[in-house]
Amino acid sequence: MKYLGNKVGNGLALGKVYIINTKIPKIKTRNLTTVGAINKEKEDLKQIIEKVSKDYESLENEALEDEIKQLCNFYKILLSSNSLIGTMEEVIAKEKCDKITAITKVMKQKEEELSLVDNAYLKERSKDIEDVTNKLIRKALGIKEIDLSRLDEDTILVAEEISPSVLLSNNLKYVKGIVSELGGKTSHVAILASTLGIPSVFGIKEISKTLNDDDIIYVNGNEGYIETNLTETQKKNIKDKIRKEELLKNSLIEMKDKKSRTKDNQKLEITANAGELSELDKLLEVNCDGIGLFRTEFLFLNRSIPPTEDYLFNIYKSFAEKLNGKPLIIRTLDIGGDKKCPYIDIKEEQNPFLGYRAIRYCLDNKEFFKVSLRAILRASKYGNVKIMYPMISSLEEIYKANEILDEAKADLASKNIPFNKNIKVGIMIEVPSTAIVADMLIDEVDFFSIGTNDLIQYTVAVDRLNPTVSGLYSFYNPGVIRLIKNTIDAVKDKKSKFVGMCGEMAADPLAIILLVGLGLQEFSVNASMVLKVKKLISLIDSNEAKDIANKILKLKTAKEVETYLDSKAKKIYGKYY
Amino acid sequence: MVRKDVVVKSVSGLHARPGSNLVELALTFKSDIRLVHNGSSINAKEILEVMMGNINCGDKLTIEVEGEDEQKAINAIYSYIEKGEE
Repeated sequence: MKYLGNKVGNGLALGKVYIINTKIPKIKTRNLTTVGAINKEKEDLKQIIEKVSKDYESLENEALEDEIKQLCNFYKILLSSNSLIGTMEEVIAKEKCDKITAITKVMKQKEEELSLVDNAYLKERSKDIEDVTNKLIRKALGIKEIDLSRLDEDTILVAEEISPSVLLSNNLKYVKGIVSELGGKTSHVAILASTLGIPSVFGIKEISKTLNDDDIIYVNGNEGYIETNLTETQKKNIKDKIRKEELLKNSLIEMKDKKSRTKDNQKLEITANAGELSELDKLLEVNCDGIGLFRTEFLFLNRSIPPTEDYLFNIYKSFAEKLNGKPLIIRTLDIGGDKKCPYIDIKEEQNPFLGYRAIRYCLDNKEFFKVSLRAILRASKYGNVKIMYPMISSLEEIYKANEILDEAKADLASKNIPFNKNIKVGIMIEVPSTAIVADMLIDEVDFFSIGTNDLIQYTVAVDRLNPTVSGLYSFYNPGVIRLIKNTIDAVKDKKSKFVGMCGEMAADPLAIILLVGLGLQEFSVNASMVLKVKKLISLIDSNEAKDIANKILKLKTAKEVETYLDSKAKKIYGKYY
Repeated sequence: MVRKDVVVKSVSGLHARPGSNLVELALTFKSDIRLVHNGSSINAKEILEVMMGNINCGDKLTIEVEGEDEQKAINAIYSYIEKGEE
């Protein structure tokens, strides 16, 4: 059986299921009758909080990873709150109830308050409060914490929801994978799992009730699924796959200082996607050839007023300078009805992905758009900066966007503010209409970047987060492949213009062979994938890939394409695939 | 009592790490430290209050400090919020 979920990443794992149930047993409220009993209860409460706080402190000291230290520290500060303890004591005194009832009541209230704040980050933090509450109650009841250091064989943790504290214990040697029903990408657990490199899949409904302890399951954190009821042959194949993945991983360190080249020494660029300040160091560490997609949304979200030009400029400038001449492709704001900013007036829409978003909003709000454009232009003085417009669906939009860009340039020129007058301008190819007329659009821009996540979604009309139809979403759909070929062909023989790809397809081992064969020039992937893609490309002969691509263009189904690529990949990647 | 206005520089606002660090810093002073944000007064020594204040990048705050080490405290808190990310 295969169960699809949300990929958290971190690789592949095979192991025995260990179901974690952190649910706290229902406890009857105890009524206190004497002043002495109330005072004792208050004293007990203080001691419990102190003990749990000490536990976090020692976990913080033992932790090796920064993220874990930080989380323990956060819990510790939370427990040091005078008002929290004060309110609990008040509840005990007023309601003459026991400490557990008081803890539950006060913490529950805080959790609710937090979950009502209109901020995705804070909503996730309400889970942290729940985690701390449960720890306090377990301490009060004398229930032992789950001790993962006593495991002695490869284990996959399965739970309705994994609480961060489970992963704070210091010996996770045998924890090979994590599967849960709940949990988002920004949850502390997802961040911890990534820090610790544990393959994880979240969001599989009812999974902790479906599986049993000691079942052997396969977790594919890269693609976001698990498999159960494995035959011996399947287990053998999976072990083989994990071994090869490991082998590939170990071969990557040496790739850092190598140039991005195919086996026959054709030059390509392997750049990275970035969308957060903290990612810059990771990008520099893997020595990518630049940033192929700089998502600017994070600079606009979670704030009450729009960012100023100087603020954006300073951030763009610091990225440009640190890249030291390598390209930095800055995508202008890609925001819509699904991500809300208080100062951006986009109404709630039934189909935000087909609605008022990205360039559509920016073209209507010229002055707002110009702030971003001027910031990018000013940063272009300090490095190899390029501009990219998202969600373009027609030539008219390119004309309009470039007109506004010219106005932004004129603003700066009139104030004698320096910028690169010949800054390169490109568009995302993610709306099928643009892939179809790519040959008409290329004359108006300097480059294309194919955004496959949206291009595929729009082409096959599938929301890939909808499990009932997500099976139709495929990199190997012949219609999708034709659109990609059409886009790449439009740029061929155009001097000083180029075509790249910044969707997840650019990091897919099978698709890479096809893309090299079609003549894609730039692969922009997540920082964690840069070295892997570089390694795989170094094993591909571009002429052989061309022949493979030509053969694929004649195949009629996604399944045929995948099977054919799989057989070629076995030969090309050898021991790594 | 001393007061000072400041604009939040940190990209992630005063949530997460910047928020906890602020509280840790505030706890090192004896004075009462409050952040006035959109009309509500937040105790800077209480992590939950700081988090629930939903203080985002670009927001204006007034720092109010009262106590024996108020001058030292307000300077430290001001420069922490003013500094933003490293």
